[in-house]
Amino acid sequence: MTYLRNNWWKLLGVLLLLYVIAGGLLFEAPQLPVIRETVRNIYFHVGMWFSMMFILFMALIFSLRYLRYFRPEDDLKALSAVKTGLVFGTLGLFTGMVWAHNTWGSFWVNDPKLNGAAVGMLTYLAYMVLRGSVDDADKKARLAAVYNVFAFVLFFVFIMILPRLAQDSIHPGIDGNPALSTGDLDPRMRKVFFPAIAGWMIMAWWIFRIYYRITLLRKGLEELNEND
Amino acid sequence: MIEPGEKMIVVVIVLSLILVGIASFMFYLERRLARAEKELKKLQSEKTRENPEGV
Repeated sequence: MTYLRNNWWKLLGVLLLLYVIAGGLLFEAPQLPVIRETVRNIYFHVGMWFSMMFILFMALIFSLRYLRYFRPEDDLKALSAVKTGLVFGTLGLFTGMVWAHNTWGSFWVNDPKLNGAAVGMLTYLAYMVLRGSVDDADKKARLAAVYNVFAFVLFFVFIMILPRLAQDSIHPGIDGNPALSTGDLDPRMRKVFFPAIAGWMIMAWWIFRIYYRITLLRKGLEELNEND
Repeated sequence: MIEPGEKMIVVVIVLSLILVGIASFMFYLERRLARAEKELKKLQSEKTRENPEGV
């Protein structure tokens, strides 16, 4: 019973995603020219991308907390969150590429949002490189935390601000918040889209927690061996 | 429109099985982690008992 009380949200996430798989593929979807049935990918592609933004935002919070209290756990949490964000970002890019291939016939088109997303991902990859290039643990944590704040701002400039300044994009949301405004999404899709966002976010948080526990365990073992 | 016919149902079943597989693996991983964390805590406390001043 205690197990269920502690893990109910994980089960909820799995159930939501099972509903998304079934509803997303079987429920009726609007028929748009060019996009047609591929519109169903919105439940996966956008869901993963939103989860990435959520988990990267959490990484920012952990980094800010580290800079405030200098607790090594917060640095490890930020690192785990960035790693999880990179996994979801890669999945988001991949599902987007498959979608583009099926609608526009090319895996990568010259779209401001696509290029922004790619550069944004590179910004976070640089975070990992930065961590790898500093040996001193304290210095590494401080530098990484400061860089993470910078990376988050830069990432949002690349995926939210710069694409909106462009004249033309295959992505929605040049003039507002895509998918969340009332007129943006067909009501038939909303009943799967919102559970999809919640389900993917729960999944991202769950993966982040596992990642963090593994990182903490590894650190504990290293410290134990060092003292031997 | 895709008719919710047999083919689509097979796709839904396969994807659901993959998801359930991943979720089960994550639950299993968490159980293993809990065990490893307990073990680490035990080792750490043993170490402190052996060397209370941490020198």
